Amino acid sequence: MASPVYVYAEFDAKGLRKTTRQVLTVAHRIAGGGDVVAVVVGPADASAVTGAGVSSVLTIQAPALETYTAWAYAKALAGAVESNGVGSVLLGCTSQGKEMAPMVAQRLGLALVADVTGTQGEGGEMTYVRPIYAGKALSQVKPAEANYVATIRPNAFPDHAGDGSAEVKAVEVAFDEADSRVTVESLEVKASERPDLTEAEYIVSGGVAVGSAEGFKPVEEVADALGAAVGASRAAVNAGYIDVSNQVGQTGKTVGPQLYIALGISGAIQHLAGMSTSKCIVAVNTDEDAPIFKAAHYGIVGDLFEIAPLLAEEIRKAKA
Amino acid sequence: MADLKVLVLVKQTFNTEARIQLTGDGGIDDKGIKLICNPYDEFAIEEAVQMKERGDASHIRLLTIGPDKAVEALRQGLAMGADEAVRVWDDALAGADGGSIANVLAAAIKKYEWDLLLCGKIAVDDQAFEVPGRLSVLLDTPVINAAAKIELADGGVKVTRDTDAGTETLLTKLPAMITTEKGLNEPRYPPLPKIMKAKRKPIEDLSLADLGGDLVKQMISVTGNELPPERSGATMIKGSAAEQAAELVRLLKEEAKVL
Repeated sequence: MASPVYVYAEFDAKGLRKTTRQVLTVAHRIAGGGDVVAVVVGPADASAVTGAGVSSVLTIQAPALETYTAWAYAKALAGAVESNGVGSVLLGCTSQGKEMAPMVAQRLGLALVADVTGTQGEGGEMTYVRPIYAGKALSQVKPAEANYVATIRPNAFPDHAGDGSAEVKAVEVAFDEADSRVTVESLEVKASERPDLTEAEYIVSGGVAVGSAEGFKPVEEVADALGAAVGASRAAVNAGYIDVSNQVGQTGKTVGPQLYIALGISGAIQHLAGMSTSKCIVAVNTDEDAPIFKAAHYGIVGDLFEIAPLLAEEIRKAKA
Repeated sequence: MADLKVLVLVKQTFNTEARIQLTGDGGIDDKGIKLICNPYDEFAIEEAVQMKERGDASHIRLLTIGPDKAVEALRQGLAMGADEAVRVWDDALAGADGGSIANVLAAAIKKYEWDLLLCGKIAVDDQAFEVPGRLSVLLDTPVINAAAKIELADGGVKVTRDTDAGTETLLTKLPAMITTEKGLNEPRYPPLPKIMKAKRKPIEDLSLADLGGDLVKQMISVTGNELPPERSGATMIKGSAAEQAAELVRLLKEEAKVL
């Protein structure tokens, strides 16, 4: 019997993360009709996953798992997989997934394929595509064995259509005091009505050209018209115009929306590294030589303070 | 006053402005590419040096896996203020995967005393975010990733970092392992006297034979590389601001079909 393919079910404040549904798409490609098993670690509600298109859901609960820490959660995931029968383990390449994955791989003695943006082939012959050198090249990699750990980049794959009603099985994983060596003193959540940046279909970003925190208002107006998330360049964050949680780029978040509108962003390599896989990129900049115009699909040489309100109005008209 | 022994892991990588080209057989061409110390590792070195200057750390050792030219990355760290360095190399390590690198690093690390293990959160070449997590398990020391701020507190360490969830402050006891995020500090450019002095600081060379054990096992291979399709550049929209906005939305709706 073929080994199951496991998917780490990740949750945020709003519930099951969209990325998990995308990971399920890849899991089903690997499983080729075989079992895909979701794993829920900690206090999250497993019923959110039972209809996501999986054969079963494993849950692990323990005092060590009350709050997320990479070490304890990775130990739980690896332990559950081991006790249920080792198979490939897929996670989203999110903050949680990317730090849990190598620990899970090490505990299970498996290879790690990190930050997958594409697949080639099928089943046992599957090879993976992943970006290297800030996306300046794409590597094709192949694990040597049938089972491995992989992290899947958010928005690189479509959501798996949920169906069915899987059974939920609680699994015991042993923890000791040493597993709680890292404790969370505080977590400051950036609550927002807007979609999560890494999972957003639409993003409107502002660069340091906005000139002030107030200067983000036109950016927000366009975002509101689109129902988009708001992003920012590192320079805008460093200038104190917007919070670091909005930063898109190599040291910020990596995004892959349908539409990315860059207002007053020059297009430094580090910024492009975070958004170049966006399906459609629009750039507005007063400098016609700004590098962003090479990466964009559509460009307007103009002042964002003039263009943005007009753009917001046109979008509202188009959606009415 | 803490007296911490700090071990900093360093990787030599391509410089970040490098234009990436492929070799005839699909490999990454390194001809003429200027090599640098992985920028994320520079934050780790700088953090250790600042701890030493504050009197929190007493000794800084650098460790790298790399061929002869990797010595340059070590000399840079020594010039910044590290005390000594170790370089591991063996031809069998060329192209070694993350699992093998982690095994070799763990075997080397176990030869030295340390209280704090620091390294960059990722390397700018492979971007795998793999080795620190593997090492964490091999050394039985939970790693805290992407530190934006590190403070010593009550016989342990307090680390602040940004994640998808928000801004987190974590506490851990020593010995601790922390990876660094850009912006943790401003790495210094050592002045010439420090660069000269660094040439006399010891660098220990280790081979796989020195580390013992069967450490290299290829679990994954790169079957090829590709360059992303050339961007032809944006369709520039002309006209008055109002005309541009209207035309853009029309194109997004009818041509790009994203609205």
